[in-house]
Amino acid sequence: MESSWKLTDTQLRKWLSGLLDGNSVVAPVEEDGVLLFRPIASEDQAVVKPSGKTRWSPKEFLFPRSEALYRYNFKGGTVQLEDPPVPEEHQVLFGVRSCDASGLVRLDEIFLSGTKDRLYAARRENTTVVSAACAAADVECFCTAVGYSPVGEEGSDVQLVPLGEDWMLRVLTDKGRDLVSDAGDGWTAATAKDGKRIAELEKSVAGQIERSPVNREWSQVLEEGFEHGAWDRLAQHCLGCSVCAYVCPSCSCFDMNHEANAWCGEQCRSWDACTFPLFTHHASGHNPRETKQERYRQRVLHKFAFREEDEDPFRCVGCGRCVSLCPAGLDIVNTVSAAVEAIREEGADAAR
Amino acid sequence: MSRVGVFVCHCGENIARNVKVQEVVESSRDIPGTVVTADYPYLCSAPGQQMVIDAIEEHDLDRVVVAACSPQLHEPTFRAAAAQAGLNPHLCEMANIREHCSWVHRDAEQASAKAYQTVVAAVERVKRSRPLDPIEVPVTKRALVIGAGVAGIRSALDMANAGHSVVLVERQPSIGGNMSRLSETFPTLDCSQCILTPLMVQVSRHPNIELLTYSEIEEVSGYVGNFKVRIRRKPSFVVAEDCTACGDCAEVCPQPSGNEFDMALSSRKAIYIPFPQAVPSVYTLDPDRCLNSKLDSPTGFRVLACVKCDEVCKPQCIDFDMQPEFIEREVGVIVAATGFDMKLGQQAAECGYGKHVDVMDGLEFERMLSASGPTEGEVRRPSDGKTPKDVVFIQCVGSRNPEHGVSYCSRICCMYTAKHALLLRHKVPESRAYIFYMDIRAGGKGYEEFVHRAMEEERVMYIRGRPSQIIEEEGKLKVLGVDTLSGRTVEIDADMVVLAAAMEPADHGEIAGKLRIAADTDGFFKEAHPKLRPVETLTAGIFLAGTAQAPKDIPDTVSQASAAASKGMEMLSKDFLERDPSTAHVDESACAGCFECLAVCPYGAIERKQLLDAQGEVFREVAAPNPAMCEGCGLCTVTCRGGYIDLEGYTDEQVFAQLGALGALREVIER
Amino acid sequence: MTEANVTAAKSEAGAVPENWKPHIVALVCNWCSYAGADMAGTTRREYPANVRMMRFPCTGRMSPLMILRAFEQGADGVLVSGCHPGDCHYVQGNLVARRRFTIFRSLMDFIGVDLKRLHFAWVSAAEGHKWAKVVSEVTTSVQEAGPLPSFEHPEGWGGIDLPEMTGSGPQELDEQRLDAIRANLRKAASEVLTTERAGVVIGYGSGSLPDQTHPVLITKTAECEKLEWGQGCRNNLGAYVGSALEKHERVAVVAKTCDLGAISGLIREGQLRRDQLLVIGVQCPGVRDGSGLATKCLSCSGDPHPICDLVVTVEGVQESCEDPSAAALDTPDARDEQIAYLESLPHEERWQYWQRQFGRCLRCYACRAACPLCYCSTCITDKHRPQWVPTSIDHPGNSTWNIIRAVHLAGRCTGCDECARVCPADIRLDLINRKLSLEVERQYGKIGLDPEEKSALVDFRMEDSEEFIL
Repeated sequence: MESSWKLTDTQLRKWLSGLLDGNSVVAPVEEDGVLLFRPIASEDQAVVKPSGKTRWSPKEFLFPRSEALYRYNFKGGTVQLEDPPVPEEHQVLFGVRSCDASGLVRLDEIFLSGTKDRLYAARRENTTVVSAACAAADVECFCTAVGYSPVGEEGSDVQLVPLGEDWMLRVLTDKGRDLVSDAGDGWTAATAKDGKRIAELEKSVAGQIERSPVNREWSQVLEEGFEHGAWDRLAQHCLGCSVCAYVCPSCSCFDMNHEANAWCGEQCRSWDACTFPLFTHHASGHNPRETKQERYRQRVLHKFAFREEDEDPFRCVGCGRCVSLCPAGLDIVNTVSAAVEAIREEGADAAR
Repeated sequence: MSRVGVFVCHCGENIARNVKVQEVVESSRDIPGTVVTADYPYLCSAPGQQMVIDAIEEHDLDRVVVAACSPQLHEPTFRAAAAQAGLNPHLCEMANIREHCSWVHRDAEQASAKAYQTVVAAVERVKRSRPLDPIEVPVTKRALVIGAGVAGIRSALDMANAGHSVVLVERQPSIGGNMSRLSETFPTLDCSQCILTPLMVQVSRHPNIELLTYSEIEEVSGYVGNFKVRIRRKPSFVVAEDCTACGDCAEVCPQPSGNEFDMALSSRKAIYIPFPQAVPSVYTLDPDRCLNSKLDSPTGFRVLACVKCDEVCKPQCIDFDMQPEFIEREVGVIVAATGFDMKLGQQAAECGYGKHVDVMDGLEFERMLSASGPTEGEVRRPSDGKTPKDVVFIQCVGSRNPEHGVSYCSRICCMYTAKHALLLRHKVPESRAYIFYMDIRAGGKGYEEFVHRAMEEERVMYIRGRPSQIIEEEGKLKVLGVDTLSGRTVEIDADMVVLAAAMEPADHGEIAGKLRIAADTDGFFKEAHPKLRPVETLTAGIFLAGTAQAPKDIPDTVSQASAAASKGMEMLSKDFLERDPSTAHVDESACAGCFECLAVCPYGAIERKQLLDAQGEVFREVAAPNPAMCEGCGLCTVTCRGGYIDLEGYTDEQVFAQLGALGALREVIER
Repeated sequence: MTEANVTAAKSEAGAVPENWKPHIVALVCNWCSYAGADMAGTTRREYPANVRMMRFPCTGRMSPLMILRAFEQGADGVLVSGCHPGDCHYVQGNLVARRRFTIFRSLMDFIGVDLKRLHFAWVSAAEGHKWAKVVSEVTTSVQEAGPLPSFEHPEGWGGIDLPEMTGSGPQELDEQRLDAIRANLRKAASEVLTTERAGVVIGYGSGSLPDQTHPVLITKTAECEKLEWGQGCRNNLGAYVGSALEKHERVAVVAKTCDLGAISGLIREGQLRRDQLLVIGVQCPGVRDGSGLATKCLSCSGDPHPICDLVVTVEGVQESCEDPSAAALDTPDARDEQIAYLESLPHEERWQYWQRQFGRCLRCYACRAACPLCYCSTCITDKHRPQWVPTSIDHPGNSTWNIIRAVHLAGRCTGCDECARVCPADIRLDLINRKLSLEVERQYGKIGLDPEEKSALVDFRMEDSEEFIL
């Protein structure tokens, strides 16, 4: 069975157009100068390029910014519960960069392991990911430095690989195959030579990324040096917002809030971030992460340490958005290497 | 979980005609927290209230909603009933389904839907109400009276006679105010000084009154029952205890000055006593007129160019080195009785005031009529000293004139003009008096008869109209006007013109500002309610008396002064005052110390509180509203951006819940 | 609450349902308007039953958040009514409230809310007839406006082309002159630390991406070499002064002229004292935004402000000592044409414009974090009891957040534009701030640098305008 084809851009567009039949298609769209994932109504709205990330990841289409977990009302004096409906229409996330697709798998590890999150699972089940490998790195990208790849297949059902003006389309899963089953008119099969271009692409993009790789052993160093005083100065200029967490493809924290009036109410789950001062604030008034340094350390370690198995990947997929969008110019990779350096030089327990 | 009782009143037919009471009652059963609902024809009646009381006891209710008339009418009624049943009164709310509903909406469906929603909002509100107890504030048993005209004198005497301690502050060297300037008073033609002086002497001798003349209020702080006042005693440069008022100093003083008491119609010396019957009877040295410059400079720098008074003073009580003295007093209540001045504005100028010396205002004429005045009671033209024959009086000069004067009526002018004309006729039998008037306002006891006396007995000529021009011609003042009743123009060659100028408050915001009481746009102190609380202000513990509050005559002034004293004594007779507990509270752990709340508080009720650490060091300053001073307006709550201030009785949670109940939601519309 | 749960008789795709009647919430003050409404009842003056009453002690107790919640909970219109100016039972409650309402109303209009839905009135206790008349007029007005439009993404809307912002910006500084300034800055900082004029210098250090800097807090003389200067020096370092003062008695901060208004505001609002600060003003080449100059720089000269303690230029470092009360602030105005253009459009266009932007808002609060004047220990949006600002990250919740953020900065913001710069969603927060700044200026006077001057929204005059009040 064929799994790889070569498509012209026009053919790609036609395929995309066809996907709109019977699917909700979410693709990068330009809005007020910002590239964002949005549901599209026609293929010409979609911006699908050989490189270039959206402003933030498409995780909100599996893990919405806000969703009601249950609703209730007081009709006739009794409480009537309502489960909010899960969207039935099948969803295609189109043009997801490799790093973002990996991010989705990092989210799966949270929401689908152990007790499955019912709402997330339903959406995930109903979603097919068409990823797009990258022909060039954005200035902030560093996926290859953290063990990811611009041509990575993780999290993807169908992968689009940019080949100059054209594209290579590769079916990676059964779900992906369902998307191409009706298409294929005039598509030429991809050759082995085309396949070799993938490795070339990876090498070329890796070459653009000037960061030194983050060593996997550093996780342990970071954990051992948890109390090191370097964290005091490394996080000095963090402002305590949540840009990094919200644009991050793998951040998954949320808060639950109950909002109601005299007639009805709902329990609503919304994005939250460990960088906010009140994130770990207890009802008693105690806050185990009282200072911003402790909060920033937590975020960095969650991305680069706290791995159960040695082979587990970093949760940071190297998209670099936190670096380019941080209001205070913090750089997570620099922070990690500076922390490791300080811990190694001064010993794990060295105070400030 | 609260146990709420909802009681819906029919109010006879007033509510029941347009609101389907039974439906409201039934629907209210479903409101979360409601355990009992009932209706009754007249809930405010004795059996109605009893029903509520019984229900509270029987069903162990901890919250009550009465859906009936306006809380402005019956909130105290139902709160008292709740208290009787052992429930804190603040846990009883009313839902207004009469004034705001059944009386203004005819459609029964709409009215009932609105009534029901109003009840729900009230239930949501009351569920979040907290039991509140009145705040107790101790009372300092002393009163402050500002201004010692007849109003201040009467107020002070009433309180002092009742056994209370009073501090009476007057900025002039003598007490007595404007009334001591008058010659006779209408309608009895009593000699003003004769009826006032005994009161003045009583004040000076009263063991309970501390009289501070030639003094000003410097600063007032605190709140009802606990005011702190700082008073500045201006230096008179004469040691009062030693002065015998012999007058030798004034004899030799070389420096003359206009005599303010005589409205500058006569002169005094730089060292002077305002009038012979002055209380206290001591001389005062005016530093602005004395030849020794910079007399009251704090560094004591002065040039002693002239010490004639000191040379002849037998008791040797002249002290050129005297400094202002600041004293502090703690008082429980304050009466503001700062009186009035004549307002001589554009209209007076148009009548020639200031241009022609024979044009004078009512108070000036009053001094002229007075036996102790500049002319010893004889009416003379200021220009040449001759006795006038034709005198024109003009009423409403500046009053009732929004464009060029004040919009209000100065109330006393019709009466005193009639009096002036009468007295002129008595003193100069061959004289002719003409009064230009717009209306005659003579509403007091004996007033109408008095005016009639002027008209009929003394043949005072009343001309309904206004003069258009006053031209000086060969020493006389030609007054051109019109008589609107006959339609004819009028021309009078007058020897003198007297203007009934408008009355304006003597205080131009200084005392109002220091007391933090409101003044209206004309500068008169604002009463708490024009009908029901005319001697109180909105600031608890501060009362008003006399013309400082509005133009009025002596009987009304004295009545009001006694009323203010009575209100003051109501507080002084208690050891503790109860204040409304609907006050603001700050979350001190969150307050960032920006103090914008302090900037907006109308009562200065927010204090700066220093928070100390374990070592006793100040680590932060936070806002702390004083519950005794807070009046519960809530301005601070909105000013605080973080939302750290809440208002008891109208808390954020209550408001939030009410807004949630009053929304337009599916359930309501489908009901 | 998420949009779906708060449904009223809302329209589908613009059509007004047949039996739709406006739902109006009235916030009234107890002493005047509530009593006036009572009087309307006593005198049996009929008026439409669409209005629901809420009693408050004073208009001073009514906040924009309450009005916003009324709309969130399904009201199509809101009426706020209180005592006539001069008659407030609490002396000045309505006078302070009048300024608040003026600014809030102008913001609601700017956001695209039909002003036919939002009314303010003065009704006294004696004016029963006026109350009935006002309610009737308001009901008719809201009826005309129709049901409250949904807070949602404007599908298929073409967008607005705002006029381009123009200006020449500061004088160009070539590499050589920038080098000189940088050297002088490092020298000045070093001197400040060695002479102990301050315990820390807050400045800009080089970042990891090209043209990017990040704030540095320098306590050692040797580290002064880290200080950078150039078009990448964007942060308003005033945001770091408060926390620096927890560790040091006196703090030196590098400041561009656009940063000063916030620093002055911090002093005005008691967050720090002038003597705790040493302000180092530096000749500025303007900051870059993408490929061009940031908007705020277009009408700025780049010259350091004389109010700074030290002034660093190409020539050297000078002491400066100016009386703050004489300091005027040269507020940028390149945006004013865009604001005027937006205001010329029908309000429905503005509604879609802002809903599209608010829809992108992630509630990351970067705007709040970067603003030096957002120093509240806990933000109003974190207040749970009650939850005034809905936590849901959707159009209604985001609209409330963005509105209240702007309202809380009105009269205080001087346009450093940090909020707009740091917003990951490119929301034109600078336009909203500038709009309110213009409104405050127009009504109550310009915001200056003098910390002694009272902020406009905690002040009032009897003669403040009130043309819109019924």
